[in-house]
Amino acid sequence: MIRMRTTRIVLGALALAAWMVPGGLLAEEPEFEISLDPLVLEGLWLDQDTTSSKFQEYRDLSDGFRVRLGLQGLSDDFGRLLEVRIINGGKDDAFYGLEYDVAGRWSLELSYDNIPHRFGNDGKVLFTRNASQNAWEIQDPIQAALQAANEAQVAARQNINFAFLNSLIQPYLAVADTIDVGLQRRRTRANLELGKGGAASWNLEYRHEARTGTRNLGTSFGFNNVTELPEPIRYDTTDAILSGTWKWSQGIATAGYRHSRFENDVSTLFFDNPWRITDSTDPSAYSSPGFTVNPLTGTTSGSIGGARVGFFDLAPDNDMASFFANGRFDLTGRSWLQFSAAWTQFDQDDPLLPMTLNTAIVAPAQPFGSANREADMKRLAVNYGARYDGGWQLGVRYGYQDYSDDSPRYAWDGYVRFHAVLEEIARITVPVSWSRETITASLDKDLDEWGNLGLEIKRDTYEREFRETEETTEDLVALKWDARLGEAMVRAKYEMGDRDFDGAYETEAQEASFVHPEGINNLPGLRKFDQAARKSDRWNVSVGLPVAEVWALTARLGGSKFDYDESEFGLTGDETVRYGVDLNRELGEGGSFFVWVERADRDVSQASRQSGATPSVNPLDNWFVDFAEVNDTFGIGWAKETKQWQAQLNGEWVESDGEAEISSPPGGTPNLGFGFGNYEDYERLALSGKLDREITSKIAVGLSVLYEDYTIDSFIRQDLANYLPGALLIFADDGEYAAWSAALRLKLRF
Amino acid sequence: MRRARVVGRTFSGAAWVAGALLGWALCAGASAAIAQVTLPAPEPPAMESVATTCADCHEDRVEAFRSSPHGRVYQHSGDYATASCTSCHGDAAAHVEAGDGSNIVVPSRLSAAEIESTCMRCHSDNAAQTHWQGSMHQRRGVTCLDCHSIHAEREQRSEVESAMRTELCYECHQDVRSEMRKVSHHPVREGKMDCLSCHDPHGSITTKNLRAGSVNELCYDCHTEKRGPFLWEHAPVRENCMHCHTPHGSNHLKLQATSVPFLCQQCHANTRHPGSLYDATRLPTLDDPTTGSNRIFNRACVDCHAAIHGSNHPSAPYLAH
Repeated sequence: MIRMRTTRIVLGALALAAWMVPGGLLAEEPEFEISLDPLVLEGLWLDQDTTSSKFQEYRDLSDGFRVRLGLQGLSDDFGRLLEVRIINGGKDDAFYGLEYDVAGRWSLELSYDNIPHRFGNDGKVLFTRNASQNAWEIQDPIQAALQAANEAQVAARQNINFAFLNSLIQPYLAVADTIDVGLQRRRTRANLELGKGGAASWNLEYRHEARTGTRNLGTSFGFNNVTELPEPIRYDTTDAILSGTWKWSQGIATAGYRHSRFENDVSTLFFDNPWRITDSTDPSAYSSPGFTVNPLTGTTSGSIGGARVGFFDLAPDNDMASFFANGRFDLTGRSWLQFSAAWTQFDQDDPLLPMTLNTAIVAPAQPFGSANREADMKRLAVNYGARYDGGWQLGVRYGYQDYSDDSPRYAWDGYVRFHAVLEEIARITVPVSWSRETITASLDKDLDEWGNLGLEIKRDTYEREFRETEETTEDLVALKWDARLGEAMVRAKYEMGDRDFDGAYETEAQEASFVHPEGINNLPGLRKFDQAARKSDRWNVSVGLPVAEVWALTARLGGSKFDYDESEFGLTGDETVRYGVDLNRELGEGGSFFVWVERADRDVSQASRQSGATPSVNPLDNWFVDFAEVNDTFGIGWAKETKQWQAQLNGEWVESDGEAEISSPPGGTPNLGFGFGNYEDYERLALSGKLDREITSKIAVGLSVLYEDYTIDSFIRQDLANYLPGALLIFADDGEYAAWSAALRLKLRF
Repeated sequence: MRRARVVGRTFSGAAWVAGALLGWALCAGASAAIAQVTLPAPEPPAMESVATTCADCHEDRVEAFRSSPHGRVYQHSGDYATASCTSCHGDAAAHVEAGDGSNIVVPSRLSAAEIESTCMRCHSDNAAQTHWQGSMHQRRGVTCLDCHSIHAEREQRSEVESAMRTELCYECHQDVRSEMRKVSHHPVREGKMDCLSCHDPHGSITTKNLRAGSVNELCYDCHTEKRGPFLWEHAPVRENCMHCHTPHGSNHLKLQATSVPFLCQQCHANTRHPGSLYDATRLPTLDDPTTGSNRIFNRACVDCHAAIHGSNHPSAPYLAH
């Protein structure tokens, strides 16, 4: 339904636009000269050795045909311009666009853009989707059989562990349906500008996006029962923006209003529990299914209880309304004042779900009918700038943002944990609010043949509610230099920063969502990195210069370092160093060559301490992780164009080599730590070539070939399967591939 | 993709094009009923009176200029003073007299301030230039000519095709070029987005030339389902998406700055499982899958705490549904 509606909107808008064309293309005066340059008809062929979705993650190179069109019309008085573009017409990533411009009067833009996003192919689900697409269901006999098997195991006082559960579920997985997980965005846009080039102009923009498909969603019935499912995506977003722009001799100002509405056709997802056909509850049901018998004492622990069906509150419908204005006043010939202001309201009032669907639980009544959430963002920014004799330029900027959540705080006497257990721990919602104020001053000096030197100082202050700190302040100083020294272009910048927070770091903030605080369970030495004290350095330098008259060389070196020097736990450091070289060369008329290479070396460190039921005070329980990520990228290309031929060859290689060094002192818990070498290791090689030959001035033929080879070794996807300890996974393929894609085309010009 | 859907998509795309052309052709007659402004016919020699002399030596440039946006403005307005050769290159009389490369302004050889002054004679009142003065590009000596080409028929360098626009930005921002090549990325290299989807090269009110007042407002443009506000909020989400995500490219799932579970553990060092160490001993292997912990493999924390951006579920203070 969404797709049909979108298509009708597009065609309707197009018809309206065509009706609005005064004079049209078939009218008497002025005449239009139409050129079609080009019309390309392409046949595609794809050969891939795996079912991985990664090769076509955001594109469609599948077997078939596609169209590319570039049509331009220009009136003989040069006052009207028409452009029609089609890119990849007929494919999942097709773009269709039309622009019509009447010089000095109005213009219209229409577009319809398709963006696929494929997450994985050939995943497996034990579930089937109902007709309304809001529930994933398992056949009752399967649920009944699995529950009965667990009950029998408990009755026989035998352990329920991964081996047992895996043996039960594998026969069903062997015959389960497969699913490709992915979604499609379809974006329609219409933009009408009236009064172009005049003292006052108006702009009306309409946008609509339909997003349909699925994506991975982690649903869970407890610690031992992750049930990954394809989340049904049926989103609709509509935006309308009306703005006016006014110009006068001393400035320009724009003001407008925007309304955006998001709707989710599937607001609640229901999903069966593979292991239960009947509802039950017990204090340990959140760890179901699991059962152990102590061989020494004979005591048992664990649970096979829980709900037979779970439900997930998917993204609620929401609205955003925004009034905005921005502009510039030219105070004198050499000074200016810029401003930008906006007031934006966000609200969301979806009906609230019940606490639970588990009939074995007597949950508190739901006292609230709907979410009743409302927040607003106020924003103001003012820039003053001026140029002075002697090549000086001064800039002063002030920025203020205030995000205020004015929603009422809702409290419940408890909540149902993982659909399985009523926890009578009263909770209350926390409306997070914050504000930010930045003050920046910059001074630049033109040093003539020595380029331009600039100094900038900035103070960035955050105030927060319900967080660990009330105020954090960061001071930054930056020095930059840009110069053309003879044939060389030199750019350099260094910035240092120092952030700290006022007052104490309040660990009590974590209790904001408890009606009756139960005590701190976060480590006192933890500092959340968004508020932690830190020192920062950022720097880069690049030099570009010609070499031997035909080469253009650019070399660069840069880095950043964030040192959370007062954080005992949490993120403690993040440092990146990168360097690279670009080499370009013109190869006579119509020819070019380039090669570039870059390396980025990133190190991230963090620390924590493992605790049991209460925060550990034993430093032997500390653990530390140091991540090292080395990314190498390399590109090379050659192109040549003559009157009859166009040729292009490109190569690209990307490699990531990551490592996690993990350590923990011996004698505590976890008692040593073991790192891994596959902290996101991957390689991608891409080779492509294009060859086009002009047969006549109006006809050309061409061939394109693309080869890609992608391998990945990642700890997070290491040896995954559809069923692993405590997790039933879709396990859709977005991994390795080697793929060939070829396109044969006919190119026409009229 | 299934064959039926391929056919369906091809048909719908073709139908769109056919509908457009049909609508245009049918309605063109009706549009004649709309009152038209009679445009003054350009004086035939207007362009030529200026460019004839220039074309004597610079034929290719003048020819390309005719159909460029500047050339169209000039020929449509018939105004000698706007967007002609001399409006950027200055009075050419002495240059023509000399018959060589002297006595003419060559904009590409001017200083940044002089280039800006030339272009801003006409473009200072464009809405796009509202925040140019004092912007980072302006302060660092990036000129109009670094990105725009005046003579090219379709302003090749300022670009219609997004792939070319992005390549232009990469000439200076090579680090971003490398970031975009990472395994987790926005669809920039596929041509469905480009740098200008998020940034305004002419300047904006924000430090990084964002097209919105803040990072979150920009992200919400495409990720509207994350706008909230929610019953149960995840505080850092509401403040800045970049606390967890890195938009240009990442080695980790979903553009995460660091991989889960460690990303979450940079803020959550609670008792019991949030503060526990998940190391190599908790990773599954083919030989022994029982070593696996669902708190480190696949999507780790987010496999249970899936409503990580916020939840409306009354029973989800821990963002589990």
